[in-house]
Amino acid sequence: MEINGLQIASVVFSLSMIFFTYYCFRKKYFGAISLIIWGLVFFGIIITSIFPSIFKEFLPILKVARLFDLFIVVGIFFLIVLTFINFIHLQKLRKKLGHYVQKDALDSEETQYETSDGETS
Amino acid sequence: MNYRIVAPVYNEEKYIKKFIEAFPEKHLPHLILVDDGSIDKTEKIIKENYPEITYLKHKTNLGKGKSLETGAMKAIKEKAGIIVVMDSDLQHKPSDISRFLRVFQKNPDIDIVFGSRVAGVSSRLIPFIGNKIISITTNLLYGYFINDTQSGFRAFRSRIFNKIRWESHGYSVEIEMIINAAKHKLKYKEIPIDTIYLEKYKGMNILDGISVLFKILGWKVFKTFKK
Repeated sequence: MEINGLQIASVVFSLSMIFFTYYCFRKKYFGAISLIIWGLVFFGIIITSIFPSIFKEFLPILKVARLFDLFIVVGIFFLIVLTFINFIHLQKLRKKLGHYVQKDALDSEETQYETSDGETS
Repeated sequence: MNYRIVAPVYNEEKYIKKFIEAFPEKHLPHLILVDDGSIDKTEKIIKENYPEITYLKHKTNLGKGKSLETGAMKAIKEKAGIIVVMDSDLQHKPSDISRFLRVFQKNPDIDIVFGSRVAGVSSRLIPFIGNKIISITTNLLYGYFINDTQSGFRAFRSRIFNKIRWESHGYSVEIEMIINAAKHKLKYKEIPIDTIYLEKYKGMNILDGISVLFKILGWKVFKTFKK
């Protein structure tokens, strides 16, 4: 089995990402489930890089000429899905933040009004 | 007439005094200033010098759309019948507010009044052309004929707030308000307003204009599919 530079780069990248994923888990940025999911993703990239031929069977079914093309296409799909999920989460956060900031502005003004009437807040 | 004037402010320490002092005194108790997370002395200036004004503060910057919404929510809480919205960058003349209110007094069937900027020597060419492109696009797509769709000086009855309520955070709020009004076939009137363009212009730039255009088209597609 011959391993080329791109495969080595993929493995090094994935190992680094596994390290960062674990580091973030230790820092409690996310929980065990996220650690497992991301760990599997990067482990999958390592397996795919070292043994790309296991996907050769899909080439005629998907009518793709080269394994490299298949990985590129799957990678792009993966990135699009991730971007979309991030977008949805961002919109949700934006909505929540807006709601809380507006509520705070309206409530604080009322407290201020009570204070100016002589009551303490 | 029970009315409230909503003006969003953001880092306006240099101009806020000039803006507030341009108001006829009778309007000041009706003024709601929504500070959209200013980090300069805007808050201090307003609180120390103008206790009669309602001052609301967003702890973080949410954009013009959300500031107007907060102000409108406050106005509705205070049972205002008419809500006037305007910019605080000295572009609009507070003395025009009475003209908006008179339109509602004389026309009980009018739901919303748009202030349309009169093009004159003081107006700038690129914003003027951009505004015209947006106006024509909106008019063609939605059949609501407003000369100046980007003017932030307008007034509406509080009862229609939920019909025109906007989701936009930024500068597309003006357009979204018009599109929602068109959707509900609300009765409107346009009145000419004077505009003063100052050296410091914090309004829309070309990118904002392009983004607004895309949103107009996007909303049209979305609303067509929704039908």
